[in-house]
Amino acid sequence: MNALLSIAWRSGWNRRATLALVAFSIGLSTFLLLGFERLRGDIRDSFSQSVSGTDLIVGARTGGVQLMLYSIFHLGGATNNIRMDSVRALEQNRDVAWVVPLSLGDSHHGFPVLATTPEFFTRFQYGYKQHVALASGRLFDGSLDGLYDTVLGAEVADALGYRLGQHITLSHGAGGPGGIEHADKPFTVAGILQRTGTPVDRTVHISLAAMEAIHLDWVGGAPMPGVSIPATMARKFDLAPKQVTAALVGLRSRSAVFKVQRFVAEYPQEALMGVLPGVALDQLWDVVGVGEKALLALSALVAVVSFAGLIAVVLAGLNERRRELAVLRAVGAGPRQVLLLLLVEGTLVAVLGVAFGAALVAAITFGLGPWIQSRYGILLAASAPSSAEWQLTLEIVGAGVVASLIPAWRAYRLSLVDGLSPRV
Amino acid sequence: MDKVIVRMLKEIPMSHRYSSSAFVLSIAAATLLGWAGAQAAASSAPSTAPAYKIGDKLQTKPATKSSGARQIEWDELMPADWDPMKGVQTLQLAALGDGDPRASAALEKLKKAWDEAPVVPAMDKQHVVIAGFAVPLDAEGTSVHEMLLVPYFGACIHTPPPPANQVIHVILSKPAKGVRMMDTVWITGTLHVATATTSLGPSGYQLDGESVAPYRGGTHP
Amino acid sequence: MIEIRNATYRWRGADVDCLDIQSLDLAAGASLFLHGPSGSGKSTLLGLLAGVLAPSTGEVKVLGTALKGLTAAQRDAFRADHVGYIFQQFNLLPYLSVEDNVLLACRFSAYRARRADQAKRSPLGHARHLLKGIGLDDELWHRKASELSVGQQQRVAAARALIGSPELVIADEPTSALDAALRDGFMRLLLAECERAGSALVFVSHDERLAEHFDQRLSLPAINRAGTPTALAEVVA
Repeated sequence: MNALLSIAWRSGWNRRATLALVAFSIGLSTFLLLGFERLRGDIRDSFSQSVSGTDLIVGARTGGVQLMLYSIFHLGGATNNIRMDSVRALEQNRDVAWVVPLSLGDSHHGFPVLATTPEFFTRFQYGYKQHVALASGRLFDGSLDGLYDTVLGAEVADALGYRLGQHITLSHGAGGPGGIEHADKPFTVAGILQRTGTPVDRTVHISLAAMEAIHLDWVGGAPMPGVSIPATMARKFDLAPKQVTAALVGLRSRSAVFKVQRFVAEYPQEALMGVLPGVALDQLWDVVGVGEKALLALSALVAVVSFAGLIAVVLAGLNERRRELAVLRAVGAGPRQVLLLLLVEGTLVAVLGVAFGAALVAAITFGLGPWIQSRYGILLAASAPSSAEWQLTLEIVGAGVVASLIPAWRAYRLSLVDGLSPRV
Repeated sequence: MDKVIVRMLKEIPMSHRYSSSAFVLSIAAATLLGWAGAQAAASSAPSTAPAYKIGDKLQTKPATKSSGARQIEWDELMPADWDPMKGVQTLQLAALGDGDPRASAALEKLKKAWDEAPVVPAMDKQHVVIAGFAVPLDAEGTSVHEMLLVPYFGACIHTPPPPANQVIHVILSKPAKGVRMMDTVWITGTLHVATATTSLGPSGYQLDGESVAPYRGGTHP
Repeated sequence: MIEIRNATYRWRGADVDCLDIQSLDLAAGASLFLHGPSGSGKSTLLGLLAGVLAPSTGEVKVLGTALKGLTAAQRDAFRADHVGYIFQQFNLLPYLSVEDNVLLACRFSAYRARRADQAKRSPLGHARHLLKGIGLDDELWHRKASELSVGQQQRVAAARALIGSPELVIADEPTSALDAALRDGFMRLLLAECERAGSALVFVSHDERLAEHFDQRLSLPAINRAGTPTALAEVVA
């Protein structure tokens, strides 16, 4: 066996140009499969740990997934608003412990703006009972004195290079070209949060009153021409919000969630819905799962193609190696050893290819990880491969062994027939 | 001599020589393609084998060994004399006309009874093991710290949620891995019963979960 | 040490035998020149002697072992242990070094390696000794076999066949690819080394002029009762 290993290695090294190409293609398909598996797992982990401790998310009666995606992840299109007195009715429900209203719609250089109460910073949790913490500065307290205070998520501050005391202006809507700025009402950075690995990092937080203030002289999504209320005068007006996008709800007893959910669904004054974050996430994975299956099947097919390349290359070279095989037979190798030799060669190429692919996954994770996190909020863990990834790796190598069987079998047959007199 | 051998080998029926190679080739190709397909199928396969229909309850057999925890059924969490249908049953539906407000009012009472379902105070501090469907709360990836346990499949997703005395809020001492929505599990732990008189909140069951085991049949493993 | 009695060989699916030998003997350490023009059945006979083929009927005994009774794997092991084989050309694995090529047989047979041990303290030692004996410059020993000339490669082939001093050396037209100048030199070298190692030598060639160096001389068409395979070719066609 030792002899065969060394001969297989030297023989393969001799043909390294073509075999390297095959190994490279196997490596690419491994990269696809492993990378996809890792991305899948990391996306799910990232999403599922983005909100905890919240029993219900209440919003307009749209879709549960859409509501959760927009209110927590600030992804997707805006949902309809709900009235503030519906939120108050929720607060008064005796099963409800706390309610945090959320208002979305504006942005700052591509980062979403979230208007909420100071209670958000104490009630919002992520991961396992982790709370949002300040890195520097202070939170806004909801009073009119700190009306234009804003608290930035860690990523916003890092990406835009903001420091405490900096003045920023918010854009209406998602920003982008043609987006109108609320230039007359600049905000001051009062606090910067610590990194959480959740969408909080990418969010600019302001008070609900401030959200009302910047839209005081606006109607229907645009400023009223000729009307302009200076920033300092805004506080003279009633800045209590009439509408919000959604509300996070925490209950006194978590097992009462279905009861409150029914209360929300049957609330007569407005069409509302309440969704359990876990349930909504699960529905999201159901939808995404179909696409995932398709992508996985595609990646597996790519792997099959690269193995077909391995088979073709080794098979094509077999004819020239018949004299070689006759020499081996002369020194005492049997056809079975010849089969084993070819099998070892093919498996070596497959293993090298898989190793290359795995290394590529690690390199990309290290290299692109920070960018993906800042852009999409998804944490690509540069951690050890999961058991699913190990299993996948073993399966790919196994497929390589099976693929190598084909040229190995052919060599076996050739060696049997040729004996010591190859017909070349 | 070699030329003769060549000619002789050519005369040997091709079918035998090539059919074995073709056979091996097709087996290998089938294996590879099957593997590709299995990848797609296995990507999000649920951990429990049987597919439950909405409303299915778990079949459990009484425990054969006593491991300290008492195996209980979901019925034991409802008071024996509680019957939410009482209000509707006493109503003679046949005697009512169409659209009679008394029918809707009775239905409202039923729904309210569902929500106000009374708990069984005697279950407090009981060390029990019970099987049910999991509704994970606050999962970290697939690591679950807290969950709701419900008696039938599809509860809260496809069908109306169960009455308040058929929902258990489980807090696990150590997180369970790989528990997904509607997975069937055995939970062992100590029940706590909150009644409207003892706590500020609504009544309900809470369980300090010590261990989680997958449900794969009638008896607790 | 070679004993063939009424051995026949018939290719699978063929109607007639291609080889039928009533008797053939060779003593240990002796040399045999087998004159066999192409098509006289020499490949088959060499295959039988080397243990690659098993006789259809009859007896082929090498070193007292009846090869017919062994399985294919056992015959391969027997060959690794006791036989050195030299082809007409392309004897070496081009991607291995000269030394590694010579050592090949020892890697497939522990018995062979042990005999090389006894000869020169280690298989590598015996390999180097043989390489010196065939007159190959020591700076070539580490080079890849593909870098040598045809003449050099054939000489290395002889060294490879002789490592571990096998009891039987079979040479299949080893000089046919060499030019006249190298031919005689190789002949004398091979005979000398075989005599030194005490190995019996079966040398097949179509060139009768080489026969004078050998103890025994045989003509294959004369002893092959299966008739000239050219007649066979007509039957098959």
